[in-house]
Amino acid sequence: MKRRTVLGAAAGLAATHLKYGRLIREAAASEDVEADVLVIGAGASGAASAWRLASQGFKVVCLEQGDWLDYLEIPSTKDDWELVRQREWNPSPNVRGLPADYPVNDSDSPIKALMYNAVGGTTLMWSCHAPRFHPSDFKTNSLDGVGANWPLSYWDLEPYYDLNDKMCGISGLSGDPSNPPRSARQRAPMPIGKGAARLASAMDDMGWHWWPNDVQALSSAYGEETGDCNNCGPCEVACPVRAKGSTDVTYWPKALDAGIRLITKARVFEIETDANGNAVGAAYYDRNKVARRVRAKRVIVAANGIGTPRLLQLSVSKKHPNGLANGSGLVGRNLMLHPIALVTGLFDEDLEGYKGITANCITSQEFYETDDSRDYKRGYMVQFLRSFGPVLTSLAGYGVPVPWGEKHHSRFLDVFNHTASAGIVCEDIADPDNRITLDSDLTDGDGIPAPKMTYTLSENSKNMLAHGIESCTKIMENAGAKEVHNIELVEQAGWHLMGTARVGDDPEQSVLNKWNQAHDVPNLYVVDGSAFATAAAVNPTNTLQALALRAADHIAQTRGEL
Amino acid sequence: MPSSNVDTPNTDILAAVMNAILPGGDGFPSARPQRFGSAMMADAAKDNDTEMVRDLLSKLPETFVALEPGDQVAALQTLEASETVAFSKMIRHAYHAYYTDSDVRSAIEEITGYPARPPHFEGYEMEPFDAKVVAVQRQREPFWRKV
Repeated sequence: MKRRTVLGAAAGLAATHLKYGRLIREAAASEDVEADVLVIGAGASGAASAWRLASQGFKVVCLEQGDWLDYLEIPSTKDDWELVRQREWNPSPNVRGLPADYPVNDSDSPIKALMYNAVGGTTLMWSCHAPRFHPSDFKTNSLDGVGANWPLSYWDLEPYYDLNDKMCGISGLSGDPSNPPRSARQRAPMPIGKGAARLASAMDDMGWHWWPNDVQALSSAYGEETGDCNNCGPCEVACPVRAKGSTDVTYWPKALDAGIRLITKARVFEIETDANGNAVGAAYYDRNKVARRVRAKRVIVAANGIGTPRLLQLSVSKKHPNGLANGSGLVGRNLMLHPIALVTGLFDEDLEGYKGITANCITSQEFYETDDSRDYKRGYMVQFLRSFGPVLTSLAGYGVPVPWGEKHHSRFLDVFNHTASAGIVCEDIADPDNRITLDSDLTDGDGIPAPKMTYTLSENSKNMLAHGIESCTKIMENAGAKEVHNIELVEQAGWHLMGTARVGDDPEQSVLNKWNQAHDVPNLYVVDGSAFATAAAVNPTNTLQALALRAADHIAQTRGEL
Repeated sequence: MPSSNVDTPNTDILAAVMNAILPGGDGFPSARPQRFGSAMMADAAKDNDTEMVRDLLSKLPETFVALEPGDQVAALQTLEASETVAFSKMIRHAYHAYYTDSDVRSAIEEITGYPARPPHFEGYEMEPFDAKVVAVQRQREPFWRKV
């Protein structure tokens, strides 16, 4: 993309946000407000459900604890961008510590919690990978005797995957033999680059699967609000050219045009209920730390797999003494992540690894399904990665050491732009002891109890990770790597937060029904990753967005019950 | 023998340490010039590590600056072995300072072609996707698990 166009696009987006920001601030008057539907959280799923409802005539209010992103302050426009991404743009709220963040006590977890709190939520930081769950992911208990069956199927969700793709725009390629057929992708696949091409060729020779990713980043512009990807690399620090599917770009402009009232810097501390135990709205602290209330006929919680169970557990009442919608005792339990290992090959060839989306080019789903000859159930996806800039290369960002001292510079030159990596993304089997609770001591900036994350890596996951490392080492060796390094478990990998208010048919074994509606509180819905009954082995964002759209349609279809 | 007291890092020690960590060569500048040490301390301050670095440097021999290069490296290796975490943090700050320096970035561009500018707004040119690369995969029968 040409520089002038890009600058213009960024300035246009900033102006759009300033406009909406002003409107929002003006709208956020001092009085309490009423709505048909209150949505808590303006990230991936909150934005999708809010848009869907507003476009069908509902009066929707959304509360978001963060603010709009200032696109003129994105670090990848500055020379120290690699340092900023380790601090102010660190994906861990504990490191970042911005006013919009809440701390997470993740000391009892080998995988740390990652998220972002703003309009757009964690989609501001995601690397745009938009794979779909497989049909088998919805029936793992029946098929493999592990996990829980979903009360819905892939085919129930398929139309909403398509709708979400259409709303956001997908760069990709139909025809992947590892997945069911799907509609034509909106845009051509992203460039795969030298490193991925080399690995792809090796996998062709090995008879193993690979395919260009479905990506919510745009190889060419898609709609008025977007730009085309300039292959800059670090999607994780937001996209100044509006080429990636963060919901402040995809859903929110349309949602605001449909009349939603979005109140930012609004931190919800309780979902309120009436004497019958039904939700009547939520109480929150506004930007001036004044407690306020939104009253609503229905409440949608979209605060991610940690924030949602935290809020439900905070919402204690006579009818709900163990937290809202927690008759099953499962709110907060069955936390699923995607344990990730990393294998990096070092090559003689300059792979120009800084070009293109860092964490997203091609994937392999060769080992996605259960194989009874292996010592684990279910499977993993391999997501191939490019390489880092100079700072993170020197710091062994993908596990290739660069020593200090006399040999530093020659080793740096051996490594820089000469690596390609494979992330082994493992399906996590739900375990009720992996959970989110309220921390007894830690609080956020408003004095609200912070979440505590307790998570133990299972033997199944350990065995799966080991198999993945072995497989990916073979890929690297067959691709001609002169060295292969690995990281057995990536600590900063808690992006995908799932399962803590799961769907199911049985109210004693689940929190939500097949419409993402709380068994105990019929006018309460949860639409983020908390709702997942299984984790699959793929990134969850477009699945939770599809669920959110479907839940919104259910609310619309039962409108008369409001 | 440790130096008696280093309230603020002695600039000579800092320069010598930076030079030992990043001595230059292969087209790269040495990190000896004072600006690198200052930048390293500034970076450490962002993580509240200033005291830690001062304390670490105070554990080097008093004669560190005058030592032969090989002996300086040996002294640092001894320090690294005894103060693993702190030393690792200091290395991180040193690399942060070094690889954001404009001379170093220019050197990288000259040696590798990696542009000495941030990724945005210009981005990078790449060959567009060529559908021919999936020819082998397209021959494979669908293998997703039917439910």
